[in-house]
Amino acid sequence: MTAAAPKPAPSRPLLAVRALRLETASVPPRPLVHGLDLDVQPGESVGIVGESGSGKSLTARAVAALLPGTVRAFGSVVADGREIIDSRSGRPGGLYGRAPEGHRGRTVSLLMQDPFTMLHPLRTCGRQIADGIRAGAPGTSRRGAALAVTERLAEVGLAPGTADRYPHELSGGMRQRAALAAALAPGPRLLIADEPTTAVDAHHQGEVLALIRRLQQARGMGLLLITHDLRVAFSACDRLYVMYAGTMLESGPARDIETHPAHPYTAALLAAEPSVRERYETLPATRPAAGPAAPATGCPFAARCAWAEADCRTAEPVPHPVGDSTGPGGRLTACRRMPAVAADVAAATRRTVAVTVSERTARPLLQVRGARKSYGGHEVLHGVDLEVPEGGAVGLVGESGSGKSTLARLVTGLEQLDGGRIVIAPDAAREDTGGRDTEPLLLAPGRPARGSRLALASAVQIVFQDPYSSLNPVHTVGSALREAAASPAARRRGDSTTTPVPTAEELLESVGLPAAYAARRPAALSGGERQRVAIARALAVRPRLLVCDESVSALDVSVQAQILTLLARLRQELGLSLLLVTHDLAVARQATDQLYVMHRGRIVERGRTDRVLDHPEAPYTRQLLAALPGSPALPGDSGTSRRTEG
Amino acid sequence: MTTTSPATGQSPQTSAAPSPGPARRAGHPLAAYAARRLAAAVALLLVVSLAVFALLALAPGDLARTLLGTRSATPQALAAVRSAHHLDDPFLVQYWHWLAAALHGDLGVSVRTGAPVTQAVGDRIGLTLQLALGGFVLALLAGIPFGTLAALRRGRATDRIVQGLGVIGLSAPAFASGLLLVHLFALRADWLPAFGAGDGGTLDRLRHLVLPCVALALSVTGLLLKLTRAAVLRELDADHTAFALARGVPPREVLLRHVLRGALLPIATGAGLVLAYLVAGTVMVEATFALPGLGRLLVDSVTYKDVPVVQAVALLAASAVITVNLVVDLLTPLIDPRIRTGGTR
Repeated sequence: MTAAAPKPAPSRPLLAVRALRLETASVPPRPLVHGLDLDVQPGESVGIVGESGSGKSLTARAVAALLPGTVRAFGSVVADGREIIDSRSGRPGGLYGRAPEGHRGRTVSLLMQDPFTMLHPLRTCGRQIADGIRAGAPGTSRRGAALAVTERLAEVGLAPGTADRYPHELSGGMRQRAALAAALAPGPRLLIADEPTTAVDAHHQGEVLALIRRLQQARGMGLLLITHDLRVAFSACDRLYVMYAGTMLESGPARDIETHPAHPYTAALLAAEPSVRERYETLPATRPAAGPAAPATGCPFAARCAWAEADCRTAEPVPHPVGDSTGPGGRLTACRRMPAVAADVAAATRRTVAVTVSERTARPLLQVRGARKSYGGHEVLHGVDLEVPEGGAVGLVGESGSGKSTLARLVTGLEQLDGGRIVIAPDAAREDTGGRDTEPLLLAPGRPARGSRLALASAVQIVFQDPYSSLNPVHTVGSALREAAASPAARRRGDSTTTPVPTAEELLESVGLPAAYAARRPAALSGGERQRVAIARALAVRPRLLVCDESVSALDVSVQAQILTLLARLRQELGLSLLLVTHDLAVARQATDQLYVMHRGRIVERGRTDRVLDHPEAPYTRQLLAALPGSPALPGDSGTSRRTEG
Repeated sequence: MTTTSPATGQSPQTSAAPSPGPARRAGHPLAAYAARRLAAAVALLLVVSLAVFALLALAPGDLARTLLGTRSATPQALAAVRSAHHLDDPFLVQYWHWLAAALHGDLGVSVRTGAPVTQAVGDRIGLTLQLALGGFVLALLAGIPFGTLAALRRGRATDRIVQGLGVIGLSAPAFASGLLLVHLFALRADWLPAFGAGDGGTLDRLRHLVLPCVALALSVTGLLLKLTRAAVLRELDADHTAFALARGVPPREVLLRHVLRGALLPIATGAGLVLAYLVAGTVMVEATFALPGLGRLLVDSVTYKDVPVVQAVALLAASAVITVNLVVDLLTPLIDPRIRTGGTR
């Protein structure tokens, strides 16, 4: 495990990780990270990119000397000239996990992902920033600390009064700023930011990144950014490391990786990344992972790689320079077939821009008119109109709290209207044959009758965001699917459709899973597989409209591409209509023809997806687009929104 | 909507920019909260008093005879009792008279001794309160530090030993551990008295209360320990603890100001329940150590069908439980600012 590529560093690196190996403290130990090398120079901005299970967050925890007690670390982590790993014991972490004096705080500080859990709920923001200040400069007086708190708050664009506020009194974006102020309070030389934008609304992501970047440059601080989002990494980092299943697959300057990926995995990730500017025919998705577990030997990506040879599955991947780029900051790849297959990989992952969206004039399947909904006397939908044409794909975008999920739940009958109406057109296929459902289904305020509810459930089905909580863990996949196919809604649907009742096996095949999965329980499936099962369960009723409420946003980008491809195929094969509720404009661009933009319970813009995103008219849509990472953000814009927030 | 569940999408307050200064408007919702809690406690007390009063009606045999007790049941005496207790009135009217008298501090006369019930109770309540509070303080002093220690040493030998001892204490009945204590420290070692409440001197009373308090504490320490351990573990695993350590806050400070601060609310809630249980549950220990407290009074009164005293003691125990819960409820907003300002998270 000492296969470190020698890198003569020009100056002493701020952080030098050598052959870092992490494994569980269990017997036998399970490897989590295999021999990682990583450098951060003073003032440099370095990103670790990887999907879930890549070991990127554990690496960050190891560098911060904050590993959980269940993980052991071997190898070397030298931060500011001091070794923090005691390789003999594997240094168990925990509350009293030792770190050299001043390592945490003055040398390294860690900003975590979730602004809702990162700050102590019972302490004011000021106190939490102040304890960081005292950690950086012990013996600071009360008065001195109070002054410093105001300074730190100003630095992140928050008013001095924020110091007296408790975290629950602040919005998510403000909490993230307050947490950043706390993380920077001890004056660290290296800031580790673990997914700092993931839990923040899309609207504020660009702002948070720009703020971190600006503070990093102003303080001459090193930045280690951990992210699953390539767009974020490219926009904020000088150099990147790409991790997969605990192994470093590729590293080099961010710009080079963006333009010329030197590993099939990176190339696949880039190809799977949806773009907000163009729509592609398909997002070239990698093969789904074989299962949650990674193979023990060889290249961990071999099972999903189209270019893998026999040797890839047995020989340990060794990072080697790409082309003639040697020296510090040069390109390294762990793919033993590079550069031989470079041209093939590039060709296979090239994406073709879709020509145009067919301008369909199908009759509307779903019509929402003046929908109103209140919770606790607070109106969250102020009269919303929306239409989904027969066979169409409609996107509904907005930030959290905009009311888009409420609308999705109204359409699915999970919530009842307080005003307005929802109409589902009769099934065109049955109209001429005089079937039962020739009357449109009308939902008005109040609790609908059982017949209406059944009719609604048989026509509209929903797929939720989190495939981990939307499947019952004690039921096998097969029994969950059979239960859905035998539900009253499915029987009711049987009266108005000629499509036969699908079996569990057929349903699994329709979502690209082997029929044998029927015997498995959700715990034995990966996140992407679970979401496929959730879609299959919705399809069991043979619905006409599928509502996807953030159904791809909890998934890794490569899995997201697979699910989007699946949804497109299902639309084509089954003539299914789609209402895609998402915060992600790029996902909406790839998967929808029509787009509705929602803001504070109102539709602020609607139209063809490409037109709305290329030529936004509503100021709010423009704001959303400008806030994307990598967009040329207008300095005036972010300044205004900061002021209104703080 | 990035990581929030669909359910939270419904609560519009989460993303709406908070209006300025909710902390400064805290006075009003806090007063409303306290008033609501107080009203609930009073309502509960009324319900309990009705149930306690019904005890009399449910007592077997002729009520007048029961109330006369050992006194000779002459027709005059019976008639006097009937009129004194309004026994000829409808049940709710009887209840009303009883409640009105109780509110004026008149809980009737002991059937057994003929003395006012308030006097019988008043004589003994002091000892029971001393016993319960003593046991409570000992249980807190043992349960919280050892629970914290067990959490910090999670999964290691210390954790298992501490938890094991807690379970033993929890599962041993107070009379059994009491007898063991008497055997060890009173009979074998002769350090402390084995029974009785002492001759009245403060120091003597203290000496007599040590063993009963320990016996009482042993029965609930395990509960507090488990509760503390779970609460501290949850805080140790919380993101905000890791974040505090990550920005260099010294571990000792993290433990005191972050972890224990966060665990305070569940511990206080649990401790309140324990205290209420102790006040109402000293019977066993009082019997074991021959202490003339409320528990003994209750046992004796039940034996002699002294219904007015049973009513009084039951009412007192219920009031204690309700009061302790009310105090805990009123303390929570002081501990947790989110309850103070009606925040959602």
